[in-house]
Amino acid sequence: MTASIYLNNAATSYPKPPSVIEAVCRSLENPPMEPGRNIGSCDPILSCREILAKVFGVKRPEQVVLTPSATFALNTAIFGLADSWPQARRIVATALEHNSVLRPLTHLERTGRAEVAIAEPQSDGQVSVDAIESLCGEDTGLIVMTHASNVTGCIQPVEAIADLAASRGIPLLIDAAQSAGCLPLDVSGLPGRIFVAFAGHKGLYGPSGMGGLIVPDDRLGQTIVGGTGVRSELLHHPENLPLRHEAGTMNLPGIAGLAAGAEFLVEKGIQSLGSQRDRLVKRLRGNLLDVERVTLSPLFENDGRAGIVSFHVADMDPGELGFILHESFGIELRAGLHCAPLAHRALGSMPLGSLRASVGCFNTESDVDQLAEAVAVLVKS
Amino acid sequence: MMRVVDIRPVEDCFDEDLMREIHVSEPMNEKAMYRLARSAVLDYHPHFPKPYFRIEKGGSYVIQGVLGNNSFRVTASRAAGREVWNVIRSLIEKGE
Repeated sequence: MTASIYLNNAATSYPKPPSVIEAVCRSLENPPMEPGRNIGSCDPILSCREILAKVFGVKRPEQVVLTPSATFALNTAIFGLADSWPQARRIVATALEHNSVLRPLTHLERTGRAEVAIAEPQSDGQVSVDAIESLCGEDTGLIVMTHASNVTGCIQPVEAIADLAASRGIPLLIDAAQSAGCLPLDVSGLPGRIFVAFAGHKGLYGPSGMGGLIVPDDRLGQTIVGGTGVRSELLHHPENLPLRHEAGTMNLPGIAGLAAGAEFLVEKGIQSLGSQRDRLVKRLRGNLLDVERVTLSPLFENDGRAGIVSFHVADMDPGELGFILHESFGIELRAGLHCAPLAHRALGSMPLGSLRASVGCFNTESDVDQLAEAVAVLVKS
Repeated sequence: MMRVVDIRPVEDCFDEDLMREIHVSEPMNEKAMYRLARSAVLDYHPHFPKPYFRIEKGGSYVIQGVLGNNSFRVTASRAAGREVWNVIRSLIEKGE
């Protein structure tokens, strides 16, 4: 059945703002724009980079590399950095990382190109600066960490980690897949060499199939080369930003939709939408705490701006609960490991994972109340 | 007669089991549910917004679904193997 209450915004935000749908349709209806060749017309790719530069506090729009996903962006950064190392170096990450980080790191480790050190979260769900610092050594070539856990929604101290990384001359890669558009992030205000990977289809309200990577400079190794539509006389791939990390025909409908999503976000205000999510998260957590046998995952400083509530019901399989909530109650959320096995190991929720409800800007108090009521019914049955 | 019209794999977080969505030719009803539950343990919740059932056959398979839907989910243990789908098909199609 199609769920009538959508609480899976941490996977993909839904519904999309009407302006996003209109932008995608307009892009498909109009003759395809070719980068660099449509003289006199508005360049939708540049427009997208410009609005994203505004969202992330980036000085130059060419620092915004457009990719098909956050995973692609993370691969671009991780392998691009590792390729420049003359020998294997240490990468420090956290147990809260998504497989889109863990698997590239494991791949580097298995191929002898990196040694991976994992920092564990505290009981409040946050990874401390000390935990990261204790793992950093002379040979550390990269710190990579999520801005907000996709399992718990706990916001991580990326600003303090940026200070640490800068003081040690280590590049920092922030996985903002879950936080982009949900939490303010002023990249130009952070010290050091900062990379930010983001998803376009979550807090930025764009369509699926879009993401991006904020790069600080044009020194990152190239991991994809090919056609760009420009500089065709060259047999090697252009080395200037942003083309340095983009190849192939661009996803123009996706880019148009992402730009419209980011415009929507800027118009509504990141802070304002964050406060709205925070209120719903606090309300849902409060309601769920009243239900017997329900345990909530930690939420650092009770800050719910990432919009995530992760919970368990004692003696009940989260997968089965998720199935019943969807099929019988018409409530969509996400059960399982959320592609973050180390996070669940740290939280003690292996092997079955947890139930994750995630709110977006179109959810209401009634939505989260109905979820809590449904869980109460299930617990009593 | 109710028929199995499709058996589709379901992607899941976990690898230890085989999960399939069984599509049937008409909406699931109590009669079909009880057929599936023969020689198995039925957990039935008719008071849910859409009545939910769970049928467990030893360590072999678990069926989950709601009445009114044209599909239900089966999770088979690796030990039970692919014969499970034939058993389910037989219970649905030949049990009437």
